[in-house]
Amino acid sequence: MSGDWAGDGLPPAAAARIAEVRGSGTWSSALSTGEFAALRAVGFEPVGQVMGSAVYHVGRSGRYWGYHDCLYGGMQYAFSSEPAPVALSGRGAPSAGLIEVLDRARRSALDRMTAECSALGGDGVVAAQLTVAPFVAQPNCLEFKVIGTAVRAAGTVRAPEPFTCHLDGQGFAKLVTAGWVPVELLYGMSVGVRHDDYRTRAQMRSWSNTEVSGWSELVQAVRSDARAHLRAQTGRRGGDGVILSAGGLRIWGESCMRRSSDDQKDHVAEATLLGTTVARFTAREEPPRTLTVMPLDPERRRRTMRRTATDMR
Amino acid sequence: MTVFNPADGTSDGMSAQGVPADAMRRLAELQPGKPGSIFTSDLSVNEFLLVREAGFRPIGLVLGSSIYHVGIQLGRWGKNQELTTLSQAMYHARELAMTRMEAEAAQLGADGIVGVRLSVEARDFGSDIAEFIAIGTAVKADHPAPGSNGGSWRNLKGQPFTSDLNGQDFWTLIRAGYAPLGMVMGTCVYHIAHQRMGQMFSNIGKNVEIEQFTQALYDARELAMARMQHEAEELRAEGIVGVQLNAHNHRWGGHTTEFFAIGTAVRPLREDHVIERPTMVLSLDG
Repeated sequence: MSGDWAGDGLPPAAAARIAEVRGSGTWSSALSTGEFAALRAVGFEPVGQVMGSAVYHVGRSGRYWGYHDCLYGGMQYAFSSEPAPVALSGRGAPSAGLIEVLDRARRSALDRMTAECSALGGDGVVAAQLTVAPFVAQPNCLEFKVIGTAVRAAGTVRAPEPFTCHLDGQGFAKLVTAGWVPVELLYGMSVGVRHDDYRTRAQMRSWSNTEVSGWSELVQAVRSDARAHLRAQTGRRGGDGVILSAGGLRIWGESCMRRSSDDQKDHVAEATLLGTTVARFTAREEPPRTLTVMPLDPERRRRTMRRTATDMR
Repeated sequence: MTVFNPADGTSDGMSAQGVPADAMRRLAELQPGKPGSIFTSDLSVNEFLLVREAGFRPIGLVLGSSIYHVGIQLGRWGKNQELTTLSQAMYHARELAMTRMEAEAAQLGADGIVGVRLSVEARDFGSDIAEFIAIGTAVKADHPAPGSNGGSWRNLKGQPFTSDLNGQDFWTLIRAGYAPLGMVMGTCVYHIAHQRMGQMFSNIGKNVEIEQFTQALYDARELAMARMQHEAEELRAEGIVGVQLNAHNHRWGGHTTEFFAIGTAVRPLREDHVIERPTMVLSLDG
């Protein structure tokens, strides 16, 4: 089954599997029994496990790629007091190229998954899990993989384009019951680079309490840029809101590539956000009201305890 | 549970049958929209739906953050004492993060922020530097607040209310006729004295209370709680719910500890505070 494949449509192996599943009518799914029951209760049934994958070569840090250029202008003077800017991917800094290629890779993985879903006659994918992992044989290649369960709605109305969401079966069922339908899984990302300027270095070494204002500015800018990146994509298919599932922030120091003669440093921050857009619809019937219950088994009570506001991460 | 029949149309009248068709119809109607008209929320599905049911619309994820360099102060070896420089640092940094988050929410025209998480993350900054971060979902009420506050959900300072309660607790609180006013906190970084040599020797082989240690823990916790209480009084709260009292060691070694109290100050919305009697459930799955 391993003919030459130019990257259009589904890989031959995937196309063959989908044809086989479609022909036999036997579906597979990674849903738990509870999720399965929840889906059926709101009128959806699984049609098969679907997957999309793309391996990309992504060079990241280092002078050659130049993505982490801090764009600091005050570099020619050894003791410049000029404040350093934040070089943000969303504002056209060199890191925008990196974001663009990562976007493209994720998009092709997602498109391949939805192509499988459409081929199976599904209306959407639930419990889609998006992972990015280094390719084993060659760590500078990244595999973007997304895997989920394709579902089909009861009735004759078909979705024009499959929906995708990160929600599990129960979450999806609760959402649909309350009159919300997921639209699309989105990923927002931003990279910001800021030179550790004179002021930052002074604040770091201070004896008294002080905010490291440059770094606060860096993480603030990167997080809001990641949100803007996510928001910009919501326009593609529309919707009423985004339910976020996870967000992360990484920040690390790198030696400044604008100047290798001494040990000047930059800080690089990378913020990510994963979420699903949802759209409101009016169901014909009143959604059920929430019922207050008091669980009688201690295990369950412990699990439903509130999360703490002061989680140390 | 409904019997599922994929070939079925929508006229069947079974409870869930119309729903998937309605949902699919909505997907077909979607218009590529203006990106600005979409809210974001980091609530879970449960929380999102419950907050909606309590009469609030999420309008956006808000966050504030401050990367803070904590100054240096050493406790005296044999003395119980508060390390005021460190206390101030922990307070000031959290305050900065919270204020920035509130400012974002105010800009969105929010009535409040729910599901706030306030955390300290060491990250890769080097010693004495940490990120203090506050994240929550800004919400706007569908209806004006009942009660004496002139219909406003905001607190006395005209700021959006904040609450670290999760969606479930928030729903219950509103149902019970209370509204959150704001998160209140108190912190105290305390240096606990080391025992003197003579003391240590005299305790060898005995099980005794070390009054000095007991007293230190008391002092520190009472200070933290009193500060939290003071913040709540400033907001003219009726009470504080969901108080947590934690001890964090951060990176200061065994004898310097931060005692941190945090909770949500609430005000009454009406006279009675009765919710419908909960149904008892006994789960059968294990």
